[in-house]
Order: sequence, then C-alpha cells, then structure tokens
Amino acid sequence: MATEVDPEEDIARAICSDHYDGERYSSSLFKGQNTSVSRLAIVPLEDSWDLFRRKVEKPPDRTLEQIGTINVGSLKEIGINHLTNTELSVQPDPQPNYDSHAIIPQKISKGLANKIIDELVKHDPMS
Amino acid sequence: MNSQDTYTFEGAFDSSWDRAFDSSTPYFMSQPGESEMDDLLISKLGIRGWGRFNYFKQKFSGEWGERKNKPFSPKAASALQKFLELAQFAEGMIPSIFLTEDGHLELAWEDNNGHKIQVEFGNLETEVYLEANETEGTFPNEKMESVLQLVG
Repeated sequence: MATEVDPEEDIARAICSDHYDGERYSSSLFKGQNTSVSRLAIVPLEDSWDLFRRKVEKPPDRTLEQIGTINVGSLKEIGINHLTNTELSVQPDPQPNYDSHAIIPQKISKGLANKIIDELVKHDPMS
Repeated sequence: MNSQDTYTFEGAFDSSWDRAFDSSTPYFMSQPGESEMDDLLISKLGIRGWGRFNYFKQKFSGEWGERKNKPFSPKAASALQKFLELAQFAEGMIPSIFLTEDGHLELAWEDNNGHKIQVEFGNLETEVYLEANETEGTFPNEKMESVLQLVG
C-alpha cells in the first residue's frame, strides 16, 4: 500500500488562469485523476508562490492566479461525505527539485471537485 | 455585425492574467467564417468569454501545462456553439468559460437560487453538473436538446 500524507498536514493547489477567470472556478481544478498538489509541511505557503511559478506557470499563456489550500483530513472527509462516498488520499510523489509534490490518485467527479473547491482557502498573490 | 467585421480586444479581460496579454496581437482578429461564432460568444458570454475562448483556441492548440494536457478541441468548440445557439440565460447572467486538462470547454454559471450549473463540452459527449440536486449526467453531443432541458 502506498504511503499517505498525514491527515494533519495541509496541501496547496496552484490555481491558474485556465482554472479561474476572476469570478468563478472550473471544476477541472480537481476533477480527474492524479491531481497534483504540494505539501505545505515541506514548502510553506509563502515559498509556494515561487515553486508554482517555476513548475506550473508559463506566462503569458498560463499564469498563477491564486493558491488554494486545504487540510488533508478535511479533504478526506469531503470525499467520504459526498454522494459517491469516495475515499480520497494524498500520496507523496517527490519530483526532482520538487520534494513537496504529492498527488491525489483517486478519480474525482465534477460534483466532488466542486465540493473541494468550495472548501479551499484561496490565497491571492502577496504584493 | 456582419461577416466582414472584426473585433477588437479592448476590455476583453480584467484579471492579471488578462492584462498580461498584448492586445495588439492579431490572434483575436476574426478569420473569414468565424464572425458568427464571435457574435454568439459575445452575446452569450460577453467580451470576457469571447476573449477567453479565442485565447484558448489560439494559445492552447498544442500540449500544455506541466502534465502535457490535451489541446483545445475543435469538436468541443462545435458542441459549445450548438449549445450557445439554443441556450437562454437569465437576464444579467454571463457564464464563465474554462479550458479543461482534457482540452474540453466548460461553462459555469448559477441558477436563480445561486446554485452552480456547469456544462463541459467534450469531443463526443457533454457532461452536466447541477449543484441544486447534486445531479451529474453525460449526453452525446448530438443530444444537446437534452442538455438544455436539464439546465433550463
């Protein structure tokens, strides 16, 4: 069985211009399988901006607009309480120069993705 | 607006991502035969939606993102067009448009009670999510009338 990130930990998801138009969020932020996230226990939020800009952003085509954070335990709870009763997990998946990388391996439906997005704490870029 | 008209980019975007775009690029100029879709996008999705659609079309035509996401799908765009031709949104309601990692196009808006409605147009199928009654459904693109009945 793959190692899981502790439910006490928080994770971060990059919210890019394809996910967010300044008003609403796309379900594609979490819909699908193997969703990439970063562990805040390894790279704190204040350093995640630089990390995501290096790894995710490709201006001007795709820019980092916000960072969404959520507690792993809360994420699991949302999955269990959803109609589909999905057992979500976060698995460490360190990459070169990206030790904090992790994935949510389970397939997430549009409805469940929306529930997660509603619970995300959205952070704007620090000025 | 007739088929000879072209659109200007002015005011199409308002986020920081939008401002990063150079309004002088020719990407947003309509090509012959595209004005009908441009008219439809502007009337149903506003200038922002029109701008985002064309931006996705022009700038995401190959693999994109850190996970080599699929390019903008012309078939998804055709399904979106079919939907927009038939859809009537509540007065003042302007849906948002997104490109998904599958190269699909997603519209998102709210019903009269503020519940989310999302419709994702793919190559062959259209996926619907209604927050109001936790409904998720998938329809062949040929059955767009069924999609409209569900979200109407």
